[in-house]
Amino acid sequence: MTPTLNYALTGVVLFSVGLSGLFFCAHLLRKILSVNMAGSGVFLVFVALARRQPDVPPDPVPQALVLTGIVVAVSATAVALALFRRLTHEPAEEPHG
Amino acid sequence: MPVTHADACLVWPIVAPLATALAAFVLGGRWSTRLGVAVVPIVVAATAVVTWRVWHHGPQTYSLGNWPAPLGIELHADGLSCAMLLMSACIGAVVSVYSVGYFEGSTTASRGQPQKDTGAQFWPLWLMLWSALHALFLSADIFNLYVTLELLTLAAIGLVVLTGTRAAVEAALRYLLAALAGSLLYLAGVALMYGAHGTLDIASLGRSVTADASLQAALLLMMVGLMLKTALFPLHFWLPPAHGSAPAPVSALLSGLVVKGSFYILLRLWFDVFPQEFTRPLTLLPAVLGAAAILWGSMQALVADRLKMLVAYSTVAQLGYLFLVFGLARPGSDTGFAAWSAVVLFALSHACAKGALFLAAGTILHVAGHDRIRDLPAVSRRLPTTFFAIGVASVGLMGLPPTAAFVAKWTLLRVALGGGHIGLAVVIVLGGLLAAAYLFRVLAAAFTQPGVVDTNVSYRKVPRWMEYSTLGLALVSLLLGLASYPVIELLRIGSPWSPPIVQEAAP
Amino acid sequence: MDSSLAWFDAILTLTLVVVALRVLFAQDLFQAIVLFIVFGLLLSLAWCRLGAVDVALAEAAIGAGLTGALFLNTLATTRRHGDQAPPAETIDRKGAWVDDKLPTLRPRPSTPWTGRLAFGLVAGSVTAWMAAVVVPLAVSSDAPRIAIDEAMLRSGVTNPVTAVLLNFRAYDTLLEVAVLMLAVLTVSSLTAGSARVSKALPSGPVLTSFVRLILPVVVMVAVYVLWSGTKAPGGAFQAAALLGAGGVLLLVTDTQSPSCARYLRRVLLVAGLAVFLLVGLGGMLGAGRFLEYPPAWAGVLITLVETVLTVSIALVLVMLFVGTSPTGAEGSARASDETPGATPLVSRERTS
Repeated sequence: MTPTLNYALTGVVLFSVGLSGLFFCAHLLRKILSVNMAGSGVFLVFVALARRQPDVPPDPVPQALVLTGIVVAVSATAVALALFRRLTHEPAEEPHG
Repeated sequence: MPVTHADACLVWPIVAPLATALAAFVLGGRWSTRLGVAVVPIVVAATAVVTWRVWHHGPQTYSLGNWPAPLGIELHADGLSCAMLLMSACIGAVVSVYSVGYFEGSTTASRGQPQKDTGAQFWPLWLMLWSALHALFLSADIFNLYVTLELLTLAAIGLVVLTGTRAAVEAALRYLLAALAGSLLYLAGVALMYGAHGTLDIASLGRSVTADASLQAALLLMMVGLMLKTALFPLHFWLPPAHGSAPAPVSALLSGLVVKGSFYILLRLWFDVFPQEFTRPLTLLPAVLGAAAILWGSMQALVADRLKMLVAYSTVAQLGYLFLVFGLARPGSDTGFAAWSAVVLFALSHACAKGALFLAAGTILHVAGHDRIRDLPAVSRRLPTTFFAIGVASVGLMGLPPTAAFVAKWTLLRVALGGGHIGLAVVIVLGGLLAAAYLFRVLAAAFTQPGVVDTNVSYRKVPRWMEYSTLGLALVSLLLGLASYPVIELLRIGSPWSPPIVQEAAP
Repeated sequence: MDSSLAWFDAILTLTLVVVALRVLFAQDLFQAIVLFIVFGLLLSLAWCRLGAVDVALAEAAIGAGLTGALFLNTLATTRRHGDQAPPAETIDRKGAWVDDKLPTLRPRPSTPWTGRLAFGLVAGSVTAWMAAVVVPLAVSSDAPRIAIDEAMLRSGVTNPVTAVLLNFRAYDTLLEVAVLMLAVLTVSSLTAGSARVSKALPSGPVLTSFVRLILPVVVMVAVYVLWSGTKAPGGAFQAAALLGAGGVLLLVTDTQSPSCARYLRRVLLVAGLAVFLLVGLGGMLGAGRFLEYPPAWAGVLITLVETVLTVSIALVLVMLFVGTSPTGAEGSARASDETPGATPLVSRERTS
């Protein structure tokens, strides 16, 4: 099994697991974790396929795209967590004002 | 600034709102409103210039950084992009004017409780949303489209939670998770396409793709992802709460423009990238779901008890019409172009009418503090202009002549009957009748005497601009019907049905 | 191929999958999040094995580090606000949708088996379907890619990933920085007004002096990563993640609250995007195009953009952290120059 095949398949599994987790996990934090995992799966497929020819340096374009993807993912995660925090806090903050 | 490339005009609809958003964020306070209003004419002019160029010189392509595709990212404007840009400019301009009044109220007319300056937060977010929309409509690169989709989503989320209510936060989180799932599915499709074809540029993909297993998987992944983001039934669950709980100008933007973004990408990929023999077996799926959306959304709108929820479910129904295009438009046939351009025309008309309806709902909420449909008669006396606007917009939504929606539905009906799609034809007609039914629930309020005049309700004053801008947008939806012909001619430029145009030399 | 490396790959990927499943099914949320951080670190090993060292750096710093910190913070906040550390079950019910209309099957705590079976079936079939497509792609010797070699000579840098990120596809990166900006705008609008100042870590003399020692090192490493990014793996995002981590350390230990004026903070936040935009527009002067760098100036301009981006992104990352953290430094800053105890609710749209 070549590294490309190995990691690309792992990416597929992570994508499927993450996507299923998003639908099946009840807790919001786990849903957000699942999205992140599914994203990592896609990134892995992207970069693994960029290394199909072991004798030439890997294609830099998917790497750059994945770097962009990681930053986008952390932005979305931060927003999701801020929303979650607000949702779980609302009752606690109500009497404050 | 000496700009030698005439096609550089493609950059301005993206850069102008983005740069203004930054300035508005730094300066804050009243300056954000001033800057936000000041950039409106610039953006409108920029989109007009792009359209003018395309109209006279054919599709425009601009290589960012002077790196041509596939190495670099290209901006591309054809008739479809221009139509979308014009829609965005028009609704964006009206919503900006409306928002001045809407958020002005939030800082001055506070009811005893300290409020954060919602207006100062609104403008940078809205301007970035505007920029993201234009970036999306002009992008010619499937990964860049992913970035613009995320930009659009995050801007939309930021705008939904401006009210800060629990309902809005919950709706935003639901929206965000659905949108993230949608973009991941789309991105997975991008990964497969790059892996198989080694390019991200839409035009090169359109030339190089061959019908193979990886392409089929990519198409399915992207299709499901984009259908989720466009809230096609049964993936619409996130839309009504998000559109119903956002501030009114934001609802207008979300229903009018944002959902059209992901639909635009699907339209582009379906007809520009994927080979015809490939999409044919799949045509029925989106069309049938679209038909189901029309029926389901209309039913929900019929029983909704709040005006904003009614309008939001109406969006679910009207989005269904857009997806009929995949069942009705055959590449390479004349009726194909008729159906395709009719659906785009319908999208434009819906954006104006639905925008006006949400703005009107916002005005009612602003004045009366509620939007319960059964209590509307008491409000209608105070807001004749707004209720007139609701009437005009309703004509556009029902698809009565002479609106663009009528032209579009009529064309779709003709194509459906001609192609033997009797079921779809029935749904098209039925959808119009249902729309009439739920909209009459609202319109009836204008002609009903309030039973009991509730003296306890204190009504707030409404800035005139809010009412007039709403009416203006409603009238645009009406007038669009008269302009259907030039719009369809514009759409022909660079469409898959047009003969390839030889690029003229720049003057 | 070296067979021991093949074994390493096999074990690494197997561990990744197992850890991923544990993240979803671990009883305790805290455990799940720690496992998620482990997952990120393992993933950066995978990136190294695929020759993507830039991605590995970013994954370790941002994917595992920052994202993990955000999750931990959120969990800490959630628990703090409940009745003294409620068990996982309670949090689960509190965090789940209240009036759930999502058309999904979900495992109820009483019947975990049906839920897991459904999960397994869905995940398994999606995997099988996608694997059927990905395997032929992965084993095909025909690997089309975008040719960059010739353009590299005019890119101004020698690290191809940096060339793609900041030159060939600089427009993507510009929009990506805008995404970060949006995240900050949204997160700080959500946290504004919640004046709740409490430190995440108890600061003591040991911790304080540790932070004082480590901070200069963090800054130096960040500068190195930034500077080396033009020719070796590294660059603005990785450097910013390091700087951001330093900022977060300062915040949680509170040795010296980086209290800068709101105005200055805003300027620094947008500086990266603004300079990027200006450099892009500068490319349009003369005969150039948006985001075009003259080849002779490309290296300098890229370094300039990257440097300003590093500062802005580091600040963005710190603010994202603050936005999800119980410290609420941003909230307290705002609350002090606005009405104290302001409720963040704008209730005009609340319909009764």
